[in-house]
Amino acid sequence: MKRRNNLDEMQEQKLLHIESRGYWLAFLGLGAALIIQLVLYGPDADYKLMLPEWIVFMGICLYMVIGCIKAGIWDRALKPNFKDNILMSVLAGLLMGVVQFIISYRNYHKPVGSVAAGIFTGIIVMVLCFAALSVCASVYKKRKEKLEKEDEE
Amino acid sequence: MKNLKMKLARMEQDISQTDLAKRIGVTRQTIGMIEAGDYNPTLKLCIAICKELGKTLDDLFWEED
Repeated sequence: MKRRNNLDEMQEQKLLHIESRGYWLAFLGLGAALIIQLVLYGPDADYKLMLPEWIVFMGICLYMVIGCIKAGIWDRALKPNFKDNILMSVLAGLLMGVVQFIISYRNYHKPVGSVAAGIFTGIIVMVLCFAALSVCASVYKKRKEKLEKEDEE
Repeated sequence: MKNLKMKLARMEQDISQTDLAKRIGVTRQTIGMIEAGDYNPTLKLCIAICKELGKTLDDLFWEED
């Protein structure tokens, strides 16, 4: 049975906007909470406590990636090309490099070692991020091509 | 409900879904979904389609009872 909608078109649009903002607040807040816990507690962080948050975070990530690729949607501003993929990978690498530097420095107070740990983590994250983006871009392009040809009359 | 009026208007002008989509600046999927009645376009998009096909909103989007 179809549920009756109490909202009119305008209210429906407004609700979608509110829900969208709510989603981004929750998603980014969850990501920030994970990073803050890592920075604050470092190796002493209780990973068992962080696991549910991480699972929810990754679940949301997977849902978004699969949902968008299935619908043939990439991003409003970015394009699935080498340049944009590299740019986002470098940003992710920089962010995680800085986070790793802070964690390392807070715990061991060795600037050189912390910088090295930051650079190493940054490079690893950048490479993994670029690989993931490249795979997703490739799948997205195939899906988009299929959707564009599907049922064309 | 399928939008056969829009499909006919497009075919009369011998324009493919892909061409119409390119001219309006949307994807081919969007045009396909409007014609199939699976997507309700905004007024802005309806007007863009009408202008491109040389029709009025009544011609393409008014549903007779």
